[in-house]
Amino acid sequence: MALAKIGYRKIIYLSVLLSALIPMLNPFGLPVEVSTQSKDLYNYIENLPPGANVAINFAGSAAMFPDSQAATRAVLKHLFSRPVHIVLWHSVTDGPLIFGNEMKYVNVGNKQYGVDYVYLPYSGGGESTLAAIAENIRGVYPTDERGTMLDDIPLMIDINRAEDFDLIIVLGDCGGATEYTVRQWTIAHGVPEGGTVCSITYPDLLPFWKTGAIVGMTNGVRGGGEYELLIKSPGPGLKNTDVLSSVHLLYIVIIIIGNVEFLWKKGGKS
Amino acid sequence: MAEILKRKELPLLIIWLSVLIVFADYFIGGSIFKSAFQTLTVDWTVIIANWAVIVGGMAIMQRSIVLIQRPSTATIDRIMQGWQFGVATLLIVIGVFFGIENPTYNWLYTYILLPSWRTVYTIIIFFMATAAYRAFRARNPPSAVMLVCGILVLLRNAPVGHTIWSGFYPIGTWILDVVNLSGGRAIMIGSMIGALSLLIKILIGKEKILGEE
Amino acid sequence: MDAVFIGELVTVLFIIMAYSYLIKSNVLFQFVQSTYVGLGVGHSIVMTIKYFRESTMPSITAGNLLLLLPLVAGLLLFGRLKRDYLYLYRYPLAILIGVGLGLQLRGMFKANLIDQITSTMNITVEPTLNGINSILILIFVITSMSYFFFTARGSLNTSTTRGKLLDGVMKVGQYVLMGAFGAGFAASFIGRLAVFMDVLNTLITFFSKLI
Repeated sequence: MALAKIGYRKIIYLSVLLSALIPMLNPFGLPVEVSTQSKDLYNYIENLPPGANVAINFAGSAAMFPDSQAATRAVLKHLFSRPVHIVLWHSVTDGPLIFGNEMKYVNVGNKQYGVDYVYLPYSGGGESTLAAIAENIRGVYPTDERGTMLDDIPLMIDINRAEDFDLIIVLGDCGGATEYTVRQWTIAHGVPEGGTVCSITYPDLLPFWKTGAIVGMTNGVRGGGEYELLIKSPGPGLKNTDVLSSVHLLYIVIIIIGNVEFLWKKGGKS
Repeated sequence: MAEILKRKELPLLIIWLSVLIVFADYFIGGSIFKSAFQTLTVDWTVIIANWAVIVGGMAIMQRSIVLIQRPSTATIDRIMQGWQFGVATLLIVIGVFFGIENPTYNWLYTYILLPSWRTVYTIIIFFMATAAYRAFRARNPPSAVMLVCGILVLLRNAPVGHTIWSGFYPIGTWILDVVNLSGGRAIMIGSMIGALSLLIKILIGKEKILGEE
Repeated sequence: MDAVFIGELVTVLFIIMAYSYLIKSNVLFQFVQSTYVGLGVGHSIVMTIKYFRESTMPSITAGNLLLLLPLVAGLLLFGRLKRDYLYLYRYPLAILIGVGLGLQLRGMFKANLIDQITSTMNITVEPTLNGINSILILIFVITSMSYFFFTARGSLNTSTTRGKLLDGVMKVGQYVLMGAFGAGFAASFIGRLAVFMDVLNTLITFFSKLI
């Protein structure tokens, strides 16, 4: 290969670094088209009746959270701006520490803890634990994150099972939480589901969106930019879409150069 | 007693009972099965699954000790394994005795664990770029289709694609919503059948899933 | 120098040490790797002990003594750590496997099979994009599944055991699957790029503070 003689690897590594760095330092602000799936999620949340109960399964893991961070933050801002009740728990060990950081950017407004929203702690177990929560929240979480018994929290008086919720949202999923929430909450208990998912899992979840099991979802960092446009609150998502553009273009150019070289050599041999 | 406990039939019976309770609650219903299901999931499975997290972590720490003690381990590997064991123990001590709100715990998590983990995760971006140059080739028609679809979806996901030509977005969306959906659906149905056959193999004891030798 | 500045400096050092792997695998990268694996393991154990302390123990002290049974049963998992007691580890593992598989399958019957087949068969016969797409989805799903079910009997290009029609159907299925994998590759790429942006942002923020 021609580039191998001058160390093509180093040239490619440097190109990737520069293509990400330049738009971060000098953003060019390209327009972003909003996908149907993001619009569906936005519209569903927007149309929730006042007093609706929303369950949130915070599934953001430390390593991959930046992918869905923008969308997660935007959805949290949207939910806290609506007259709905929120019950949130963590299904990943990193959740409590990451979530605390995200809430610094969300305006809780007039919502009161214990009356309008409650945070439950972390529990391991994945799908089995989610199924257990759907059956009996108090069995898995007798207390909230602050140590208060759920029976002593006004919001939780009438909430103990999946059927007590109008929507479940999975935030920051990169490992299958959205899919097993479909099985344990949507199919088993009829609770519609939405999500902010990593781009890696997004294509695999489209069949669930098509059947209506998932009412709407965002696609990684691009989905974050889309949701920020919908709630009219620019943030890290829109800021990072320029980097998406430049690095994607670079990859396409690299693929094309590789294929042109391959076809040239193949033509030369024949 | 130990010989009886070593037989695989008893754990297999537990698997059978668990599966039956879970299926009966869903497909038959009724208060008896609901109550059994709740006890099984809420009380037993959640607690055992949490224990499994601890055991998994301790297995990694045990491996570090084994590697340190092994004579054939290189000195540098011994040092690294010792370091790994040491930082894990340090974090456990701080977390258990002082809580996760402790400033030292937070500092270690925020300034060392999070960035290191994320950075190592991103190294693959560079390898994917070199792989895109070396390996992502249209050697035959199916791989050409894969290449073209991949490029079109890349252009759909990047806002610059819409700027270059407005047609890239609808075409990329069509590939995601029709081609990718169809392929994903076929894989989903196939994996469902595979999962069912795995369950049957486990239930009849053909699958060595319980650590048998 | 306060703790935050020291923390940011350490972060930048760790990032640079990790990226040194791109030049060559070296001891600095191994050090970063050992550090985050150790811290990750410690963090998982701490969070789980926290759950037991704050959720399980209050229930037991409040009177639900039956929870002692699964608590003790979970201890049998430690049999994993010593070969002589490996047989004890199978018992709680059996519960996890049985419940896990049962839960997964009972939901998959509807979500992954019935709903997917129903949605595939739900075609709209009208000359609109939605109508055409619904028919295409039906064709693509059937051809992709044919590729899975019939490929095992021989390679795609030998027509001795199957008719030309089936070969054609499987060929279309193969192309559909390759298209799906291409879309999957494009999607997988964004995820890591987003994390890379976060790491770069950390470096830019630190160095801009220094300047």
